[in-house]
Amino acid sequence: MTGSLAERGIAVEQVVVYGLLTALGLGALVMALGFGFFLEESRVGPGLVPGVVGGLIALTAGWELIATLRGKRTPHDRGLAEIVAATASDAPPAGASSERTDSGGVPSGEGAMVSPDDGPMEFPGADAGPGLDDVDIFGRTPQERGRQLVIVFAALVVACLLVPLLGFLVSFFILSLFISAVVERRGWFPSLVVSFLAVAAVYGVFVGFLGVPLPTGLIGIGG
Amino acid sequence: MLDNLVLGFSTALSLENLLWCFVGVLVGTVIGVLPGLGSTTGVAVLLPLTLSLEPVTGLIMLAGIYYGSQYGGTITSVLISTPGEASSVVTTLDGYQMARQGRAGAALAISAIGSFVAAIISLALLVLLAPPFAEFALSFGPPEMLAVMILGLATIISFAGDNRMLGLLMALVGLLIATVGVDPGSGTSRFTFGSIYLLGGIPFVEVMIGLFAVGEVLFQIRQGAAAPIRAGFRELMISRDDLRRSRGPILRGSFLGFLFGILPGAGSTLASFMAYGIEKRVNKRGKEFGTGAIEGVAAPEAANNAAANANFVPTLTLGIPGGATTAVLLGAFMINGIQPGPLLFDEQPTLVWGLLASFFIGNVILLVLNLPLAPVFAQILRVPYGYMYPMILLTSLVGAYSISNGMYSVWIVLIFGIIGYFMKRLDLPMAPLVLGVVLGPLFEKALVQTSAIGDGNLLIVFTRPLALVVMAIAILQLAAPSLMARLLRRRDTTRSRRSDSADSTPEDSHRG
Repeated sequence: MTGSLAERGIAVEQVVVYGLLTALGLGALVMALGFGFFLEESRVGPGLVPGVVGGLIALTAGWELIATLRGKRTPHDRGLAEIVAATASDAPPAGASSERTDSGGVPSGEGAMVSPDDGPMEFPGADAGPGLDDVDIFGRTPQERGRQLVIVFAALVVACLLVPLLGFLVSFFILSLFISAVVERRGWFPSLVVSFLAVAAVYGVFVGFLGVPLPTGLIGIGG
Repeated sequence: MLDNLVLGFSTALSLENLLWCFVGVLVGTVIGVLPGLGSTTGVAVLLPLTLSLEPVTGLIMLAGIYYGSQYGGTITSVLISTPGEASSVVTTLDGYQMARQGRAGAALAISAIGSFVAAIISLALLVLLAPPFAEFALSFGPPEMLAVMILGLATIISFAGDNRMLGLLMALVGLLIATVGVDPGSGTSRFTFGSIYLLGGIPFVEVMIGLFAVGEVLFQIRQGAAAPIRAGFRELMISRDDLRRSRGPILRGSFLGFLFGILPGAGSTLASFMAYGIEKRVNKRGKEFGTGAIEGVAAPEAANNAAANANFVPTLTLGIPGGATTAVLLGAFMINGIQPGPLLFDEQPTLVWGLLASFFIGNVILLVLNLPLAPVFAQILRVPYGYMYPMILLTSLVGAYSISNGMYSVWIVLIFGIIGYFMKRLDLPMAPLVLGVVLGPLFEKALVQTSAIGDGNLLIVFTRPLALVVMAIAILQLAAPSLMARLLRRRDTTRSRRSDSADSTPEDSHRG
């Protein structure tokens, strides 16, 4: 495997996630032992399901962890996009189907016998967007996009923390404005208009129509 | 039967229900058009909105979002080769090719007609089959329910994602999440760490909003914007010949879709893939598939709609959702205090039949909307994602807040948003996790009851013939794909060897 930067990044994330899941499973198992697996007359007790489930999580996650550490798994090799590529490669290669096969990067003979085991709501990201290493249409590199992701999530947390102070509507107006104007670098004026309309719509639907009392904060706007 | 339908239509045709049905299918179409915003996300985000409505009205609207998005997903698949919905991924193969040949109108028209025909066929089957099925399910005791739930989990694990091991892992995580809170059997509090919030368990509507809405948005940010591909779009007319060619594929797709949809755990995406694959084998124009054959659009489009409807059979009669979206819909039932299951048909006839009748009405609305307006819906794609996703985030968080009137829900959404992002990034399938969370409490309850029946011996599951059969199917399902793959691989190598050593050698043909 010629591991690109992004692929190696994913492998590291996999190790961390499987490691955490293994720990979670073990933790659940240990705690469940304290709840008691069986009641009198060997009836199912409060600890049985979490205990067994926790144990199985530890086993499967541990298995995946070891497999990943040994470099057995290549990510994104049998997802939805590749099945499409496999189906398409049966057809005469033309237009979109050949583009697809490229992005899939799977030997077509190999892919053809994969059973179509896709998730009901899984979105073929590799198909729709640029590859992990590519620059998107706004010329943003993966590093920039990763930074954007962190900024947006941090902004979400900050906005939620500000709710008791500023109220729901004000803090989410600021959030929306911040994301559109600063993170996405849209114009200030359209961002203001869109954010205002969005917050107004939320107010109309949730407060006006559904009668949900939104927290108003210290300022007392909305609600 | 007839009076049930009359009752259903009189419920569904009330002005309020009609209005919300229209809103549901319209919003569903829009959600289907938007890439990255699937029916599951749509239903999860808009669920809180329906809480103030009558249960039947709310469910009519949410179901409308579900099948409406199946229509919407097609539009972008055909026009810009970007599926708005996972179940219309296959449609890109022939649909986009048709669009490049200037036949986008025909492709959209046939998928709307195909979806409509499939919806009507599958609804007729649903109306005919669901009540006897519910009747039959009445004889299910806890051991049988336990077996059916295991079947549901096994199905979703074997079809959801690239790796059954990961599917299993996610289903287990879902079950573990569901155990947080007070144990239903003994009243012991588990994994609450002294928090009063966790005593009530982790609320699953918030989990779904987090996973599907916030997680999806975060993933899209990381993924970056895709370059839109413009397609020629000349004539809307569909020729008589197109219709004649599509008749067979639509009918086959409908029945296949229904068959797959009825399985607990198998979603409409699987149905559309299978329908395409089988149609390719069966159809005499199979070789043209992938180059813009109208049959390659008609069959999967019919199948995904039929499957979406058939999904309601296990959801309504057993209380076991067919896929991720129906899992969220099941959540909507439960929030309204309604437990789907065999008794639902007797206890809530107005709700069940009103909901089923609304499917007929909704599909008629969708056909009327989609035939002339598909290009108009496609204009939604012009809204830049930079404006779109703050709005999705805002709606998700306010919606979450409104469920419990507290910031606790909002924090749960954020936590599961991050989890959802990493799941998407690492290709961990979400459907098994969602099904695990939804089924968890039911599963444990059935387990406790089973052990009570058997005086502590859980093995009584194996003494009940029905439960045994269902369990056998579940195990087969987990084992079968790898066996099948092995068989196919052997056949494939034989075939390639045969074609290598020139087709003329006669003794080779015995080998296959």
